[in-house]
Amino acid sequence: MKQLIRRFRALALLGIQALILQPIKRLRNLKVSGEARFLEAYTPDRLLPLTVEERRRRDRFNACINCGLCDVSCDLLASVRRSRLPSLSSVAVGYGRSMTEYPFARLSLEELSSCDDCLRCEAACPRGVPLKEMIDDLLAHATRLDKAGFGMKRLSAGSGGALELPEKRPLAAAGMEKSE
Amino acid sequence: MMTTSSDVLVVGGGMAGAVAALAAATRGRSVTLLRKAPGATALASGAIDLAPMGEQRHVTSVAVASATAGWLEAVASRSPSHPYCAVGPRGLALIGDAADMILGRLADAGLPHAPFDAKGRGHLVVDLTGKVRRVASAQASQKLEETEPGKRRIGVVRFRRHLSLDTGLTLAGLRAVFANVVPVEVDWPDEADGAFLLPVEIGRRLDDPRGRSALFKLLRTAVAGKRLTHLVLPPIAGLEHVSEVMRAVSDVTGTKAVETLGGEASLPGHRLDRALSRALEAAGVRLETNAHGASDGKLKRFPGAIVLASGRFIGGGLERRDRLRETIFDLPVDDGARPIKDEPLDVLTSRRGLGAHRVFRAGIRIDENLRPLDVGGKPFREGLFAAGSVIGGHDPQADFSGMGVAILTGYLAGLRAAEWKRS
Ligand SMILES: Cc1cc2nc3c(=O)[nH]c(=O)nc-3n(C[C@H](O)[C@H](O)[C@H](O)COP(=O)(O)OP(=O)(O)OC[C@H]3O[C@@H](n4cnc5c(N)ncnc54)[C@H](O)[C@@H]3O)c2cc1C
Ligand code: SF4
Ligand code: SF4
Repeated sequence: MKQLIRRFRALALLGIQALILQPIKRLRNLKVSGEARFLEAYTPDRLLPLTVEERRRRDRFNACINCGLCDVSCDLLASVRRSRLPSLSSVAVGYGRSMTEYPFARLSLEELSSCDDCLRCEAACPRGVPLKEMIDDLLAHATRLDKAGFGMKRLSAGSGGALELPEKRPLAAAGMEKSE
Repeated sequence: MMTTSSDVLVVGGGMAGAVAALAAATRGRSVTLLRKAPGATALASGAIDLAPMGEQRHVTSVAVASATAGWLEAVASRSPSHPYCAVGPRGLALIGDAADMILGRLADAGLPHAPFDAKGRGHLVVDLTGKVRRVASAQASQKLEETEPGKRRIGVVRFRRHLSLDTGLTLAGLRAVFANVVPVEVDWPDEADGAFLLPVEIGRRLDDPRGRSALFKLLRTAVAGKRLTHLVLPPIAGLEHVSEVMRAVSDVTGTKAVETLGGEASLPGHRLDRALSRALEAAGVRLETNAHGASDGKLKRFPGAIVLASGRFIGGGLERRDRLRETIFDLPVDDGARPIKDEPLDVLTSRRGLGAHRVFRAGIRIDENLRPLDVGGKPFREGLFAAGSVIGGHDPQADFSGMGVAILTGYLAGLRAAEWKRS
């Protein structure tokens, strides 16, 4: 008997949740767009919503096998600060697979600012990784994250160029910037 | 993009494609070689393995080495799905001609190799972990000169302050095989970002006599008083001028200098890739690089013979998306015994380590005339031949015959393509 009552009470609670509480929550959520909710939930983990096309492209970024053949073909590499960008392949290996690493790529990629789009790196890649496209994509995402307040932001030159990653969730305070 | 005026079209620019193109050109055919990018050949260690010839302690003993004289036939008899079997004894008998041809062309292109002798004992090489093995051939800079054990004193160069050139493992490995192995410690030249230089960058620098002087001065000081007979270097000895660089190291140090085999970001592999391109150009082969690669649709219009030398997973000849497929013609793929279709990877691999992974033996099947076979076991298309690692039934890593298969099947496919006439 006691058990029956307990079961009934549990069912009633579930029923109230399903029929009353959830719909109310839903209604309240309708005011906020799906994208904003995604951003609120995932951007602190440095994840951004992707279009189908962007997702498809990532498959090609993932194909890197760290063979180093792109490094051999890039003339720019001889003149970059190697402590910041040890090699082109390090970009593909270090950042190509994980979006949460994108903000960290910015410093490395600044070293490639005089890249002249010769595309020799892509021609040398046995796996067909679109390196140039990937570099542009990484930078665009790092910028989107910066705007959302979750990128890696440069401290003033006074701090010796040290980096910091914001820990708090500034979304509510800063107001979400819509990504373009 | 693709020329239809050539007699022979080779798809793939690794060792197999290059050998096929050179063999066909030797027979007076006009040849175009189409390649997407460098493949496994450009990553290889520099050793030319035709068959396992013994490892470690054993290789340095003359008795064991002469007992392995039948090594080539041994591969064929142990592993019936191996391409050495598929081409039959008459095909296998041409391996000496094939090796002589390609090693000769590479020497002409500035990359001399240790001489090949099918009945010989091979040559000793050292890999980066200090393992010593016998190989059919290797780049001349990689051949460890054999001397009387009593007189041998080997120095292993260790570059301090460089991030990836530490040869500590080489030293330890060599000590397990030879007596009298000593470290030769050298501080890497102190310069901005010097510690990050990649093997190929160092190689380029050493190609230039002015570029190598600083490093050589340090080497000379480091070996002084050590009375070394041999000096083992990491694989960095020049990209284009390896013979010159090695000669200079030997002169400066008064030793027989030797490079280890290439490891990650292999300079010897890259050297080989470049020398192959030079050899192809010298033979009048038309080289076409096209990042999108050839497809069945584009190849259909080509009226002459085609050699498929597209490699495996690195080169791009095989690919596994939803299922394992040969990428250009969608030829059936098997492991030498059973077809491979859409089995999950855990079925195609094993926990038992090297040699047991079905996926590493994956590739297409050929007949004695190097013609790819369809599902029914019949030649897939007239005028189509295959060469290199796109052919299945062997594991280039575990069988120690990766370059051997590329060279032999490349040669045979090149000859067949040169003979072929549309019926
Ligand atoms: C790290 C490493 C170390 C090795 N060490 C050794 C060793 O010590 N000893 C040894 O004997 N072997 C070694 N091997 C094995 C050996 O290198 C290979 O078995 C051999 O080089 C295969 O040559 P291949 O010409 O068949 O293929 P690849 O060299 O891969 O060439 C394939 C070519 O086909 C091209 N291609 C593919 N698809 C297309 C397309 N659609 N259109 C146009 N072109 C296309 C590619 O771009 C590439 O140029 C090693 C391999 C690796 C990866
Ligand atoms: S496109 Fe840019 S990164 Fe690529 S090889 Fe050219 S300069 Fe280097
Ligand atoms: S060449 Fe391609 S596969 Fe090789 S390291 Fe560069 S991006 Fe990766």
